[in-house]
Amino acid sequence: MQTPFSATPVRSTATAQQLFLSLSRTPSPWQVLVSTVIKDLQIARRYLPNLVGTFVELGIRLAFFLLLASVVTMDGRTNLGVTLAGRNMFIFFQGALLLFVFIRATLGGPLEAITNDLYNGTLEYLYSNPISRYAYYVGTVVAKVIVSSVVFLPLYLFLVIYSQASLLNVGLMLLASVVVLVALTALGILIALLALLWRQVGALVAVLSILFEMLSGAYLPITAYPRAAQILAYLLPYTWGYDIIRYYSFNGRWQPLLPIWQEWLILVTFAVVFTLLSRTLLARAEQRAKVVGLHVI
Amino acid sequence: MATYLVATNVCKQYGQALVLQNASLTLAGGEILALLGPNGAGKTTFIKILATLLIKDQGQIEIMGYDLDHQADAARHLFGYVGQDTERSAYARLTVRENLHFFGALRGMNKREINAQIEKLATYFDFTGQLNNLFVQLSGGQKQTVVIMRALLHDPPLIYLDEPTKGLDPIIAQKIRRFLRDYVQQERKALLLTSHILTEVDELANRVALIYRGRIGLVDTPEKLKAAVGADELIEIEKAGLPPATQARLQALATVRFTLARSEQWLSLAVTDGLEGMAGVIDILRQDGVRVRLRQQTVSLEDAFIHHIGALNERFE
Repeated sequence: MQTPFSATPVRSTATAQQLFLSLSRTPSPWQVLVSTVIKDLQIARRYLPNLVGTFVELGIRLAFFLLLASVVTMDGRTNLGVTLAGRNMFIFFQGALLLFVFIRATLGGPLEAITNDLYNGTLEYLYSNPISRYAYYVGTVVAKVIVSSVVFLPLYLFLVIYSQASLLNVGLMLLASVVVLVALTALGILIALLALLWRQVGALVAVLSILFEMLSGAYLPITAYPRAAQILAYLLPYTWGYDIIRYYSFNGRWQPLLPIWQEWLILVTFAVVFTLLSRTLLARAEQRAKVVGLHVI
Repeated sequence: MATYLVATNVCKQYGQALVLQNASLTLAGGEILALLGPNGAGKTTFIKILATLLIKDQGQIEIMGYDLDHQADAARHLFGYVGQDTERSAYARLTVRENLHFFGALRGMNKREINAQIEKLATYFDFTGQLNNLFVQLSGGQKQTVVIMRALLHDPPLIYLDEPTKGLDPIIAQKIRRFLRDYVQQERKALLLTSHILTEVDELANRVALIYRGRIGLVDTPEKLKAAVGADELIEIEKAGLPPATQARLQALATVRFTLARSEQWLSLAVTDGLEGMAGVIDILRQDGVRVRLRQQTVSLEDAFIHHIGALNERFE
């Protein structure tokens, strides 16, 4: 007979926990994450049209950037000090491409998980379980990132080779991407909290995704933006992610907005703050949802 | 019997609406307690509070000694919960086995434990053949079975079922009832269920708690609730062709305790002595020259429910 948990009952008269066995134990956040990833990958495999759609979308996005790079030139205030065109333009878009793939997974993943669990009716079960919901939401993001990576990684490797970035710089680009992913996952969970309280917030996510993408310099260097837009851009982790990736993809020729170590510091701070904030607010939002009557749970 | 669940003076309010008012109940091992009440009485809210899906405003709840206010995570190990919407309560594009593996993993169970429990429950429910089917391909009854299997997967001592046989055909409903009764008795589990099928409650429950307007008005065995009606039998007279004057005379008979609002078509007279009551009814009908259909029935739990809810309505008015 096993003791499934260590908390001591408030009343010693209840001896039932010694007499009866529950197989339930609190799973570690890692167990929850891995189980969620496996579950989501199994589901993704069975929704083939969705999976194909994801891959096609990535392909179209890549083709768009290739096309853009071949027809657009950017003069003036670029961080390279020279006109962006041809090969340089292509490398410029490389950062946008790297992060774009994962933006949908991170920003939309937790929200999609809540929406799907609402539709599937599984949300109640998850909330009556002794699990880390944070790990569950992160698991949904990781599953999406894995699915996206299947197509993305080979393409990206091709682009990296094309840009002739050094191996160290390629590694640092990927590291910057991971830090951005962490920050964005936390941001995605914050957005999902809104769904927990107000249910229909899908449109908000779409707007935020586009806004963040535009504002943070995916398509244009933010040095070309008006000052107010630049200030707003500084408040987004993407901006620093794009800038760091461009710095390394141009092998250090790209003039960063701030010294590169400061940009790293800002990016890591974003990731840490967003993670702490989302963890705290998730607990509070769940508490509130359980008090006000849960339109959702 | 060890007490598994103690809920004391539980209150819950949504805005201005008092959904639960000082609701109290206890549940012991080996016992099935049915929470009965009209729609909107607060049954589902109560179960959701017990399942930690809602937070109460006041009161105290202990599950096997664990206080739900401060030890909710510990308490969550000890119960299995089935909500009302079971048509969509698992992942549609996962097989039954995959669903149960995922939910078992969320309970911290390892693969060996999950497999052993799946085999055990599938054998109980004669469900082995469906384990590799996608959830979306199952019938309503099969889905309900899966959801009950999920609630029992971690072998909890306490089970909450909110209308477990709602919408199921009588054969599957009977199968689930039999399983639940045997499971609770043999494994010393405790089951709290809500249901609008009162024959089911009569068959399953050791005790019944009547909830009305958020207050638990009566808790007793089904037999005692029926006995408390104060009549042994019902004599029913078809209303079509029954003159009002004759109806008034019938209701005034000495053996008639009260009239039960049971159906639109039949006048239901609750009597203390069925034979004497029937004789009196026939006398009056003969005297008035009325020819209508008659039938005699024993007091069911449904009759007791209607009677007691009527009484609670007056009490809580």
